[in-house]
Amino acid sequence: MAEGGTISSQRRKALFVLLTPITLLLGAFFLIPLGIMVVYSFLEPGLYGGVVWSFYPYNYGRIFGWPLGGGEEFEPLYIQIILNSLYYAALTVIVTLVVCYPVAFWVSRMGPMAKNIVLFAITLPFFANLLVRIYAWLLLLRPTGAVNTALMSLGLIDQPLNMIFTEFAVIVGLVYVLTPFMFLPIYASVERLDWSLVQASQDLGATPFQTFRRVILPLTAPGIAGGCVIVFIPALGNFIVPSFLGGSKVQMTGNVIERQFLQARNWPFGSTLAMIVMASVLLLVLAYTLWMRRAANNERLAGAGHV
Amino acid sequence: MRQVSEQEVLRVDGARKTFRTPESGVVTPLDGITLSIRNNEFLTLLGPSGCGKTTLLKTIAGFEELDEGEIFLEGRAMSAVPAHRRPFNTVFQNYALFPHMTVAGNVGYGLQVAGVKRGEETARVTDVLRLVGLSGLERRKPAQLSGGQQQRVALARALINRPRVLLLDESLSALDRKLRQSMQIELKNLQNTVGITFIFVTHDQEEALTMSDRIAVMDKGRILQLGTPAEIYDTPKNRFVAGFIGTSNIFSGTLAKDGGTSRVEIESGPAIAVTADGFAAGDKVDVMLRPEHFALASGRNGAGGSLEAVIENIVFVGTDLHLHGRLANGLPVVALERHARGAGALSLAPGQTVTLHYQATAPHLMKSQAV
Repeated sequence: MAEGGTISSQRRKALFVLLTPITLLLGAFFLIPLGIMVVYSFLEPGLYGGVVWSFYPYNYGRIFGWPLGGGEEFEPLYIQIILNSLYYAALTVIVTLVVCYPVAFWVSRMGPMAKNIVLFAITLPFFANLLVRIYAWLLLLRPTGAVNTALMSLGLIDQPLNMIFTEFAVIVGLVYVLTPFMFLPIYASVERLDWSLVQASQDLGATPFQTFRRVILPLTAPGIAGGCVIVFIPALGNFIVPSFLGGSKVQMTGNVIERQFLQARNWPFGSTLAMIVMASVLLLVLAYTLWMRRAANNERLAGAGHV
Repeated sequence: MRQVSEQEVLRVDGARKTFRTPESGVVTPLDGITLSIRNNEFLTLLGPSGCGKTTLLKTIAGFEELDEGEIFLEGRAMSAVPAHRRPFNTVFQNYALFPHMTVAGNVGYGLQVAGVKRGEETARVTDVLRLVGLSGLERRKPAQLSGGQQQRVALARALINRPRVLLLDESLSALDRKLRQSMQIELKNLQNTVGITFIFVTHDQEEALTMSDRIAVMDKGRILQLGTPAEIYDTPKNRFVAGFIGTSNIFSGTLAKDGGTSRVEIESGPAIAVTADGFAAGDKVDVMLRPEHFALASGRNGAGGSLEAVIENIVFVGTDLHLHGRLANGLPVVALERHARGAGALSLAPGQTVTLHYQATAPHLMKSQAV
């Protein structure tokens, strides 16, 4: 057994060597900054930027109304902005999902050549700078932009539509930026879907709707869930899209955080807002995980559910 | 015991279908098929891969449309009926079990989508699982089952709707040999119990012979011969059928008649004595001799003939010895001898010349096909 010991110790050594770089990388560039943020969110902002090293929970009080002190006041605006951000992120998820799900089926049925072209086209935006692409939307949506000009020359509208610097523009921008992130996981799960299962369902007498609800949807659900999570998280924290396309009217937490760090130079409060965004994402992911586990348990205990 | 009646349950009438391949070729998996399937029979569609048997099954199930022709269920045309409304159920080649459902969920699926009450569903699932010998596995997921168990779940799932016709698409081919053989017997017994018409697709001639009431041998989108296993085995219509079913020695030659006796003269080879009803002297024919028609000893009475062959190989398969040899003109020949131990044991060796005797009734004549 001495030999077995050698092999396993060799394997352990190899594992150590392989895992060290990623551990150092994540430690240095992810965990340490995160730790700094957690700590800063409980510190007092210095008068001219920087922090005062004393325990100061009132940053949270400014958002939630408790605990208050140290001259901080409850500002309901921030909860409103957080709720707005959640709403925009949820809307972005719904729109990208509705767009991507049918398209994924369509693409998965294409010939290999057409499929490659479509997949290339979907990843194409990544080759151009994000700011440039967002700026293009500014040109499209502004009163004298391409969309308004086209609609007016067609005689569909008399006045240019007010699109830029609205919720609509922000949603359009978020959907545009995040669509590939929804498409790819959904496409992967649709591509893997075994069509003989769909035939089996039809064969057993299920109507097309029953087949969709009971076979296609549950089997592609992991892709849908993955896409939703991957879209929701960056949508919630996004600040480039709302700052370009939302102007000063549409605020998302990302913008507020950015301003706290770069303009107000209130790092503790910025950290606090970031903590709350992260906490809401974690809560949602936790809820989703629990829901998935419960669904799996139900399935196991009760056989399949009824229509 | 199940009764196969002469009454027709399903009729395929002039079915034709062509596909365009990606290489812009054209395949014709169904080239004018007409077939009448009787109530409660076990019909096998047998043929090499690409012969159209699976396509035929899929058009019956409703997954493929016919270009021409029609399928009738008890006189009712099926082409306008979508797959989910046809009273047929399929056991798929890879079983196609729903991976996200339990065994009970899979088996009960057909009842659930039909809106059967929960209580009745549970009772019927229990019954059909007992029928296929899977009681107690209701809560397992397909991934937790062996290949044989998955096969039974697929079978139970297809049977629970009490289909008019059960379609089985190469359903045993994924199992190992031993399991496959026991499933063949079980499937046959099951059919006797449930009394449902089975249409079974396979490329395995042994499977076809074991289970079928009738076999339809297919090639290139056509049915070459339809008959009982014995008819197909003993009196194949042509060289292809003879070659596909069982092992056979097939020689091409010209029929010669000489008074009361007939013989087939093989080119630069021996003549084979035959009984040649329905053929005229000078006809180009193929003559088939099954390996078991040959005997090394000429002890039997009656007219017959013999062939001289040099043994090249002896293959021992347990009950029998397969002797692979060549005639003087180089044509291969296979003969079969019963394996015997002790005093009766044959002392044969490669290189030895043997005389293979056959009776005059043994050779089967077939019209020669242009190759």
